[in-house]
Amino acid sequence: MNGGSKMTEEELVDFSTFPEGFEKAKAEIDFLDDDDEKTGYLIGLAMFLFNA
Amino acid sequence: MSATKLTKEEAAKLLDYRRNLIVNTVRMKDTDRIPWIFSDGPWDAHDAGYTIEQEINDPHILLESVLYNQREYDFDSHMTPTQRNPMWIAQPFGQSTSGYKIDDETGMLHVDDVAHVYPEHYDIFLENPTKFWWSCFMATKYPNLKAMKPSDLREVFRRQNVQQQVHAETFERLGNEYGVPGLFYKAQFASPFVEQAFDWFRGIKGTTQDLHRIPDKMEECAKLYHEVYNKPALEAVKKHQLPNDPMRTVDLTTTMLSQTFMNRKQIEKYLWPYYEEFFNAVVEADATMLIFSEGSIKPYWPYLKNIPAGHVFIHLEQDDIYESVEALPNIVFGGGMSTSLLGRGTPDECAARAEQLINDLKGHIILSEDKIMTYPEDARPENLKAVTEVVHASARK
Repeated sequence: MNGGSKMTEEELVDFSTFPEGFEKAKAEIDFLDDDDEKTGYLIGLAMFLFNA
Repeated sequence: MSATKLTKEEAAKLLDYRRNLIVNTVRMKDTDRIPWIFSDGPWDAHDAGYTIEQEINDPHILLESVLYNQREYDFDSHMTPTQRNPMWIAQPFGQSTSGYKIDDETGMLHVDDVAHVYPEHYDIFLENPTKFWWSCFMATKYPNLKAMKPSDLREVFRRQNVQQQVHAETFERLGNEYGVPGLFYKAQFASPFVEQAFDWFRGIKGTTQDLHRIPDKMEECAKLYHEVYNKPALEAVKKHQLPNDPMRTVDLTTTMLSQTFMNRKQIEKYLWPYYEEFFNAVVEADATMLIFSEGSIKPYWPYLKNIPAGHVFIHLEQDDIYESVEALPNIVFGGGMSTSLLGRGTPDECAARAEQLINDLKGHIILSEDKIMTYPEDARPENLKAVTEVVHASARK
């Protein structure tokens, strides 16, 4: 039988709001444990992307 | 001229020599010779055989370009070896509102004057800066953030982490293999709010309008920004909490860019009070400071003359270096080698200019280019090599 399981469409998430979307974005950071570090990482990323 | 490969011990010795050379020059102490530093930009990619597109889209190509430049020209340090447009990291976010146009075929490098936040967002900044950066700046700049696949967000994180690792490797290799210290490396950074607003999130037009239409709000934001972002940096300098790293040369860094479109009263209100605090912290801690400037910094001359000698190094763009040294003998200035001469002159003419600067201004300058090196025409390789030879030959035997 040809085919296999159908690819599941990834659900789109609204990351843009605060604090809800921001918390969802933090939840995607799996390489840091500390909550403050995750906040710092996202704000650092925003500032790093100033001139992107 | 390609520099010969150094042993680990030779690189460590050279790193120590070059670090002391830069530190003692900023301190206005007697040195063997003047330092010669590179104002890195996309020129390094052209010189190493890559395009700007390639360099921007692959941090490893930037690393290779920087190291190629170091081998070829044997600089004492690099201003910004890791600072290039990070649009590669942001690509999974989708189209941004930045309006960058890069075309290697025609040599075009263009950015629109864009606002990523609007006046109504300032109240959110005053309420919660973290909310402002995320739900105003990021959400406006990257509209796709409103409906995005989590895997795309994770891809942004992955790219950011790769870039950070390559940046760390860049400095590690410059130090350990070539004996080259950093300049902005591991120093604290502080900046007035208006400088950040114009440069990064409101644009020149937006910032100018805000300063006219909502001056009190801008002042309120400037004060809060200073409390939240600058004060911790200044405290770290005052308390000597910076890492004791053999690659680090200065303690505090900042930029002077927005004086180019502001009048004297605005400078007095929105810029100078903050710079003055930076200088006070540096002098109080007997520390040092590097300022990267664009345009003319003459509007600051009346203030700068009161700073004690041996603390501040300003990299110039537009101002004449002789005039600057004469007006402010208490400041060390970077520059002197124009891209017009490096790009269109002969090796002899470039060598003569470098020799003249060394003879006239040693102790007051760090030799460098007067622009971020961007286009292939900004320098001919043989001209940079001629300057390096003059600088090295001038060392006290």
